[in-house]
Amino acid sequence: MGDYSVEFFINGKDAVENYRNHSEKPKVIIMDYRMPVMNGLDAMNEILEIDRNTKIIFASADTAMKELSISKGATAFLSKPFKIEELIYLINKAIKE
Amino acid sequence: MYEILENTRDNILKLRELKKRYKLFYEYAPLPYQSLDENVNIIDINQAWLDFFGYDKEEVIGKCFGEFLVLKSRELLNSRFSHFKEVGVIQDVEYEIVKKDGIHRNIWLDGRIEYDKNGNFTQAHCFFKDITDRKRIENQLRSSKTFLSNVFTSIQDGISILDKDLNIIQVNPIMELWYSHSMPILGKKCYEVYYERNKPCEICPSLQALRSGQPAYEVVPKTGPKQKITGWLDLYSFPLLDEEGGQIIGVIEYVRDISERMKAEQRLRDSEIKYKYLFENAQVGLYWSRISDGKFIECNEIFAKLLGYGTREGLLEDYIATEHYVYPTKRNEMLDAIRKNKEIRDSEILVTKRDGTPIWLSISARMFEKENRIEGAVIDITKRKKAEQELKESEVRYKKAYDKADFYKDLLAHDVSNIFNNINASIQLIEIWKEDSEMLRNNGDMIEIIKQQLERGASLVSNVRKHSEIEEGDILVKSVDVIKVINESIKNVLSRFHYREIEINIEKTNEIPNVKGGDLLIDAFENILINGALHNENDMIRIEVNVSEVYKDAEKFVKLEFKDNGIGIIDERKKAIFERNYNKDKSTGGMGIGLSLVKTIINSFDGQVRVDNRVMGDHTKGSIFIVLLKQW
Repeated sequence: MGDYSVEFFINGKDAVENYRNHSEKPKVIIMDYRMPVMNGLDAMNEILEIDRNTKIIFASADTAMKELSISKGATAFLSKPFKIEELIYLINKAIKE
Repeated sequence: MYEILENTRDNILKLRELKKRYKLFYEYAPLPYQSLDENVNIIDINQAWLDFFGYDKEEVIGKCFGEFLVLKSRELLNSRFSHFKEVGVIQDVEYEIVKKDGIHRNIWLDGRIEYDKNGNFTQAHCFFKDITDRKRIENQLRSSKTFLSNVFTSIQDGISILDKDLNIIQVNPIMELWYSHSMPILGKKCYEVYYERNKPCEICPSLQALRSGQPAYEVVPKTGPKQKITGWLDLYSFPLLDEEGGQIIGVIEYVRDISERMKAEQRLRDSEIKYKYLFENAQVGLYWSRISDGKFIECNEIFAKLLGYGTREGLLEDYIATEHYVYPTKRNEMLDAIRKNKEIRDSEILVTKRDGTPIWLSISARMFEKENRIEGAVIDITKRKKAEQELKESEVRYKKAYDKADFYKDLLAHDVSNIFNNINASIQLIEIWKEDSEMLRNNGDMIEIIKQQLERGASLVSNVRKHSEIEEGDILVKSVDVIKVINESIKNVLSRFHYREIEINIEKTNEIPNVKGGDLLIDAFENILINGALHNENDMIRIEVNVSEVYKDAEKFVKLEFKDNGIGIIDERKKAIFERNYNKDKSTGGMGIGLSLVKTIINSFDGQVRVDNRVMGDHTKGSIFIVLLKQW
C-alpha cells in the first residue's frame, strides 16, 4: 500500500488551521464533504488559496458533489462507499502527478 | 223817419250795453284774457292776466305779446298769429311764457278774431289757461311709460296681458319669439295661441286669478306647432284691476321658461334614482361613517347583512365600528393612511359581526374630514382569507413533507452510506491483512469498528422511527418519574458501552417531583449519555447527572444536568448540534440524528435543552447538557 504517515481532523476548520500552521505540507489531502463547523468544499477553497498546487481528493456519498468539487480545484473525486484499492490508486496517482 | 232814428238809437244803446257786458265778462273772467291788435300788441288784459304774469297794467298795454314769451315760442308767434287772423279761431295753441319774476309757465291759448262790418280785423280776443302742471305730469307719465315699455320689451321672461275673456291684449317680444308660429298673437284667445285649443285649458292659473282676484301659479307645458311639448313654463297670473282699483279687467301672465331647470332636475332625479339603485343593489357593502366615533350614518342592505343585521336600520341604530375591530389599533392606522393618501384601497381588516363572529373585510374608503365623514365600500373576504390560510398551511405541510423526504434521503445518502463505507473499508482491510501476520493483529480493531457501525446503524434506525412517531403526533404526554427514567437509561448505556470503562453517577436534591413527559423521554436521556460516551477519548468515561427543582418564568421545572468529560463541543457547533433536522444546512452536519432527536423529544413535552462547556471558557474539558422539564 505504501509507507505514508496520516493525520486526520474532525472538521474542516481544524484541517485548514493545521494546513496553514504546518511548514511541511501534506502530499495529498483526502477531504470529506460533510463535516461539522466547516464543510469540505469551504475547507478545500481555503487550502487552495494558500497553495493552488495542493492535491485534494474529494470524497462524498453525494455524487452531485463530483462536478462541483472538480470545478473548484479538486484533483480527483472519490464516491463513497469506495474500495480501498480505488483510494490507494487515487493517492498514488495524485502524488505522481 | 223818427221811428227809424228811434230804432237806430235803441240799437246803439243796446250795442253799448252789450259791449259793456262783454267788457265786464272779460274783466272778471277767472282765466287770463288779452286782446291784441293786428301787430300782436296788447290792447287790453284782465286782472287774471295781470295776476298770472305779475305785472301792472301800465307795464303791459301797448307791448307785443311776444315780449312775454320764451324765444322758442316767440319764433312761432308771428306765423301762428297770421294763420289765426286768417281762420279767425284758434284753440289749445301752446306757448311758454316768462312771468315778471322770471318763472316759466306753459299755457294753452284759445282765441277769436273780431271783425268790423266790412270784415276787416279789429282785434283778437284771447284766453289762456296754465297747463304747466299738466305738462309736467304728462312728461312724467311719458317717462314712466317709456320706462315700463323698456322693461316690458327687455325682460327675458314672457309677459302676456289678457282681458277678462282671455283675449291677448299685449305681449312682450319674448312671447312673440316663443309663439312665432301662432302670429299674429294680439286679439286671439290665449289658449288658441299658446296651446292651439278651442277652449280654455283645464288647469289655468289665469282663470283662477280672474275668479279669485288672487295671484295664481302653475307649471304648464310650453308647446310648439301642433301642440308639441317643447319644454315647461312657470306661469304666474296676477289680476289686473281698473284704474279705480275695484274691478278685475284682466290678468298679467308672467311666464318663465324652466325647461332647462326641469331637464336638470330630471337628470338629477334620474341620477339620484340610478345612484340609489346602485347603492341599494350593489354587491358590495357601502357605508358612511363618522370619523370621530365610528358611528355609521348610512349604509346599504348588503353592508348591514355583512355585519349580521337583518336591516340597515338595525345596523345604523346599533353598530359602532370602533367596538368591533379585532385589532383596535388598526382603525387609527387606517385613518392615518387615508389622511396621508386621501384614500385607501383594498385594505384588509378583521372585525366582528353583531354576534361576535369574526369577518375579514376588504375596505376602500375616502375621508371627508370637514364633514366628519368616511365613505367606504367593503367586501367580505373571509372565504378568501380562509383559503389563503389553508393554502399557506398546505404549503407549510407540503414543504414539511418535502423536507422530511429530503431529510430521510439525506440520512440514507450520507449517514447510512458512511456506515456502509466504514464497514466496507474495515472488511477490505481485514481481507488485505489476512496474509500479513504483522497486520493481522489489527483485525480485532476492524471488527470492533464494524460492530460500532452496526450499532450506529441500529441506533439511526431507532431514532428515525422515534422522530417519525413524534412527527405523527402519536406520542402520549403523561406524568413521568424522571429519576426512574434516568436510572433506566443509565443502565442501558452502561450495557451498550460494556467494552469501555464508564462511570455514570446521579445526584439529586430532596424528592424530585414527576415531570411532563412520555415514553420517549428515556431515548432523549440515552442519546445525551451516548453522546458523552461516544465522543470521549478518556480511558475512564465519566458522566455526572444532577437533578434539581428550579423556577423559571414563574413556573416550576425539574432541571437535569448531564456533565461529561468528553472531547467537548466548540462554540460554533453548540447552536447547530441540536439542529440536524428539516430545513437545515446539511453541508456542515455531523453523523447521526441523536441530539436532534433529543431536542425534538424534549420540546414535544414543552421542555428545553441546551449545551454549555463543563468548564467555563474551555470546551475541551467536556460538556454539560441542561434539560428543563415542566413539573407535573
